[in-house]
Amino acid sequence: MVTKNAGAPAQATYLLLSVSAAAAVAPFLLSVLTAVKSPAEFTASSPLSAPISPTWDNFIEVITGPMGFGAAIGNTTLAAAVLVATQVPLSIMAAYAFATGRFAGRDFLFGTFVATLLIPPTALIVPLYFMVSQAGLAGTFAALIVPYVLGSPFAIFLLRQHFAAIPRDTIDAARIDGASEWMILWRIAVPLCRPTIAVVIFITVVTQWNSFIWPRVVGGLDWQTVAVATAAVQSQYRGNWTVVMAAATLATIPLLTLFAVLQGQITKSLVLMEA
Amino acid sequence: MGKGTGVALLALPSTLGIVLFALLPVCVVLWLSLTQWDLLGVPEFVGLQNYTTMFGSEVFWGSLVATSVLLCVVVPAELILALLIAVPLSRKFRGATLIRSILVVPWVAAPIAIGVIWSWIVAPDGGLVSQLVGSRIDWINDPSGAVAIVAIAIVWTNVGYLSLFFIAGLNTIPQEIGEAAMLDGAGSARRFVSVTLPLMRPTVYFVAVIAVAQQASAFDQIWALTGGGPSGATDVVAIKIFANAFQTFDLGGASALSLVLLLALFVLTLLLARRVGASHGH
Repeated sequence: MVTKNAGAPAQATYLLLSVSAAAAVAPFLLSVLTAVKSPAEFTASSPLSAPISPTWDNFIEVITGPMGFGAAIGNTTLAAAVLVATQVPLSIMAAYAFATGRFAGRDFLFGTFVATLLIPPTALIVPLYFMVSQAGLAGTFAALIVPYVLGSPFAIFLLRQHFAAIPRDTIDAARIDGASEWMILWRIAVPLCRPTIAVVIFITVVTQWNSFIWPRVVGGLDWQTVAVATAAVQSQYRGNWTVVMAAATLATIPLLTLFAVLQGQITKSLVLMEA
Repeated sequence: MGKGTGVALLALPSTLGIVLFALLPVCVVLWLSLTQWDLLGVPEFVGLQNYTTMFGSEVFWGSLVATSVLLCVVVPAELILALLIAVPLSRKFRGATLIRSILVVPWVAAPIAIGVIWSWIVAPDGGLVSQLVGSRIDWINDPSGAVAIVAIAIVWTNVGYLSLFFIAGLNTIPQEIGEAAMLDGAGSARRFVSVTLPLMRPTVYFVAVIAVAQQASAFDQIWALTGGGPSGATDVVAIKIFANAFQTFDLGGASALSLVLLLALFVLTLLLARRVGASHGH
């Protein structure tokens, strides 16, 4: 039982938390504010002031400009969609196997998945590039996603916890009724873990959307992603802050909006991870 | 047999995935580090040449120093701030969940865009800080200023996310323990240091492992803010790998560097993991 007011923080603590929260979002808000100003207004006004005559010109410049930002949004969306259709179901399958199966080497194998989470991605860029280019895939759409389609250790780790929390009896009863593991997974386990799966889908989209080095290395000019195009705009329009901030806004705000919708569930599921 | 064994097949595609795209690349990078490869031709075996070149190069040691400096600034700052935020947020009060979510926002945003936004914040010309102060502030082109700014941007990105683990850890500590200490007359600060913190040890090491792994491969913010400069102050190993491989096309050298990063992180993680084990024993 929580006694009344027992948890309410002191005023100083409230202040600390409010300042932290403001600091967490202020850079994004200020970048949006800059992105909707004309270069003239940007130079003349304070960066904190609201725009007098808001304009879409910077966004139009970014999307239709020579850096291929418009195409990049399409490429990134496509890559994210393919991963949602491949990586997510394959991770669900693996997580279910680790949570409910009893087979030799299960714990060792799961431990290996967890260990790969600690490999710094940068350290594998060169060998992965070698493999992908040997396969003749460099500069193709396939190269963007091929290392990730078969599953995500992070998603498997997260989902396994949730599948393991399903009462054993529920699954055993279905097994006795003669249901196949395949049916139990998709008809019983998955519907029970729907909120977590929504979070996994969100994280898959975020990871693909935000990923920079790999697409920068293998995508080439044909398959630029949003992150790659954002960096390209930064160097091409060096110092033109209204245009650069429009690119940063396009790279961040869509996912932050989605996060705002799903936030309660996401923070809850991420926390469960540690248990 | 039967039940439960057939389930193993469901893990097959993902297992193939980590074998092909996590374990095999570790072997490939070991082999590539013994070759000379310029991206266009065929890798040519040169033995330990890349390593002798690397260990004899001042740039390499400078890069190790830059990586260690950032690691030693960023990781403790992240742990302390995340813990500081987590303590009040682990209690139940109106708005606690909302504040938690707001603090995770930077972690959701693209790190390259975060780097771009911070590059505006600290830009000497037209940058947020310079404009607000009304004079040209140029810290990003100063070696220690650049390290500080990169560290701030990275800590700012991760701290809310890391605090989630501390909140979860704090919530597993039985309330009675704190209450008993309170009855004994211990003040809240003393209660935290002498009662809560020791109980949180496993969580602290767990979060340290995550923070170290994240920092070892931190790239995007640094790339957008400094590109490794000025005078190599933020030229961390991750940046060096990319630059060696895809700007100077010395992929053998980049592979040797990748292997150093893998080994260094492996040793660090092992040390931290042993501390986790040890603190569980208490």
